[in-house]
Amino acid sequence: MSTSKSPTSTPSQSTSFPFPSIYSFPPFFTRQPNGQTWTSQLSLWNSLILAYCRYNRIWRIDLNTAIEWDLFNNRDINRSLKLETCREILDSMVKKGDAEWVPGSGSHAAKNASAIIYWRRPEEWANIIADWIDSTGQKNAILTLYEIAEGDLSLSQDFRGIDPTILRKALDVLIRRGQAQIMKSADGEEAGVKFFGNQ
Amino acid sequence: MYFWRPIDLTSARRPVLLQNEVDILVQDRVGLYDGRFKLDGYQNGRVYLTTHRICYVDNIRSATHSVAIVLSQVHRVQFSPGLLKSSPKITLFLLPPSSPSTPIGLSSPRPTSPTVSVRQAQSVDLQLSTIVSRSHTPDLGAVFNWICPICSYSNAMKLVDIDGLPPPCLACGIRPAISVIEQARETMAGIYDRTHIYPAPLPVEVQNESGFACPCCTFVNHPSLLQCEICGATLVSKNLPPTLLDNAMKDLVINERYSPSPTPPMQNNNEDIDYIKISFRAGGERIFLDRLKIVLQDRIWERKTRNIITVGAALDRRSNATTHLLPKLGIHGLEIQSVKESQRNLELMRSLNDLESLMQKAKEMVSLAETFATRLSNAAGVPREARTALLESSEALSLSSPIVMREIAGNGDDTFYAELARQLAEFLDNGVLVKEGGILTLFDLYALYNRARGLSLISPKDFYKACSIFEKLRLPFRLRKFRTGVIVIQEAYYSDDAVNRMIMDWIKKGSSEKGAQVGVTAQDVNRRFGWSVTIALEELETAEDSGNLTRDSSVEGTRFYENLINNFQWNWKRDVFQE
Repeated sequence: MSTSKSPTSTPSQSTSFPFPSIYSFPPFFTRQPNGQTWTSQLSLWNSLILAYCRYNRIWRIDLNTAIEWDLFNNRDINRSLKLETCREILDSMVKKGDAEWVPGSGSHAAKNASAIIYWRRPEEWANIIADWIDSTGQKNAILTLYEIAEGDLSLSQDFRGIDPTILRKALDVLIRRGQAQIMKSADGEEAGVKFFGNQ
Repeated sequence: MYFWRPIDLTSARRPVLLQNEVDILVQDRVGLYDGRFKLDGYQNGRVYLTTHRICYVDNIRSATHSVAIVLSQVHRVQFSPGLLKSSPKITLFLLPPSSPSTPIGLSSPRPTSPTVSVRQAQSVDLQLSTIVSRSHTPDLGAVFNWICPICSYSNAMKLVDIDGLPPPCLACGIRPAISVIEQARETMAGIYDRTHIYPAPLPVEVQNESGFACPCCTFVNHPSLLQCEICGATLVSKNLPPTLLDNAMKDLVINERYSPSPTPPMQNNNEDIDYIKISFRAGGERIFLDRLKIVLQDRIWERKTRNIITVGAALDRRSNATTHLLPKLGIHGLEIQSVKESQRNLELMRSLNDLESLMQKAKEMVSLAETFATRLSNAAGVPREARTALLESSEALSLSSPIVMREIAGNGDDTFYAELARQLAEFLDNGVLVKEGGILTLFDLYALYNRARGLSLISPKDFYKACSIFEKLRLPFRLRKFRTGVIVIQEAYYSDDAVNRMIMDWIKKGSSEKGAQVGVTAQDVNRRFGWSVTIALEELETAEDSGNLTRDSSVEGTRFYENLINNFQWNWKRDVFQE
């Protein structure tokens, strides 16, 4: 399992994330009591998390550690998002489909609350992978999951270092579409995936 | 319309009271008649009985149709109960304004005003000449006359000699009771125009051991006799209750042995006596009549010091006088009762006198506190707390402001609540609301108001009811309940929108000046607008509910910002990833 990068230590981009101006607005970090305002606030946080994760290539958010990131803490205005509010935001993202709780951690568990962030939907990933297979002429090839994520050919691809869970989901989409197939090894373990050509 | 003078009204449409004038009674739904004719435009209003005047305030056109009549012009009062269709009316016979004062002594009692005749009859055995004797030199140190109860010789006496034993009468040599001297002094001091029902001083103590003076021939009879030995007139005891006395008086009249004293009759045939009528369409005429008579008899408007206690005492005195015990069996019992009675009355009088002097001192304290207050408010460097504390204490001492009591409402609670609401409105207008920035919690107002009242405090239920009818009476204040349940009183034009806008404008201005978003706390609002912190927080939360403000909670506290979250649009795919 790939560990999520801590953006504070190893930023993956040369410039830091361009936060929107609302990030410097102190009330943005307070859970608003007014229903309407809260709805707007939720959707803004939603966008912010997606953008941040995509920019820094973060696939998972572990609630207890992520709360320290500068995404949720603005040192300049000295405001931080509370854990509960973050949980609420992630819950709403899950409901919307932009995230998914890691099974076993659950959203109400005391510890191990982790969520996978879909800054691209599995369908989108499926399309990107399929296009890549096409463009690199790996039709009818059999690739391991590791090769797809970390192989030489995928160096410049968006799905470089993709979280295995997400990759699996994307491949499931392809399988459902009939564009791929899981190959099992001799002892029944899943070993690789075979891509068919575009029909 | 000759007698009615237009009057000023306060902002709450109650009559402006003169100095020392106190409200006694209010009655709604009355109409005015001048002579026999109805007055147009004056048929639907409230009548206020005060210690100095009777005021009429029209319910509809209160600004233009509000008039009053001065009580010193009222000569006589007559009551006519209502018939089938006509409502009960009280007729006030008035003196023409330029008539000289005509002394009125005892004259034949009129059956139409029973209470009046009782008052006169109670003093039947009084020394008539005590009333008649006048000295027109009211200064202290002057000489006054007192009449001996036995031989009716008029003795002169200096005011300064009052203390000590009363001097013996120069003609018969008998020392009178102190009360004779006292009364003679009082009547001399209080002599002005005696043009109406005269006051009833307490009955004089004729020495009981020596006998009972006959009302007709002044022969001193043995106390146990029922008829005068000389002339045969019925002997009437001083301290009988009015009903018994009334019967006794009727006997006198019917027997026609009672001859009036040689004073001019009440009716002046040469001049036109004008009269006005007040018609009571919703009842309340009996109590109005009673109170009116008490006021007229006591001539309260002539006294210099006036406050609630005096008026209340006057009213109480009358009601006390009517609760005498009926005589027990036997003449001896009668005697003992009457002695006890008179002693009790004397003590009551004495204690009330003390109370009145206390009130006099209190009034001086109030004026002292007021001078301090004005001096303090002018001094620049005085801290705000000291000023408010002093104002509060002078409000607490303020006994001189007339207050609305439940007894004032003639009948029905509605009038009471209406009057209370009006007085509350005046209280608020007087600067209380301005001091609080225009909004005040109900609890604070309750505390302030009761503190200022001092006596006869208002219960919370009455207070709340009175506040609820502000809008109905078209007074410029409103009761407003916040979402969290806090109830406030505010000026009527302070609607939710207005307050919201005020706050928003202030925040926006601050933000644009500073260049960055400005967040306000409840303390900031309190400093800026003058509202209490509770109310400030309520207002901020109301603005937040309406979507105009957002809150920022941190360890430093809660601040409120303009709501930028609602309208913020961010297309992240375009802005961050240039898609």
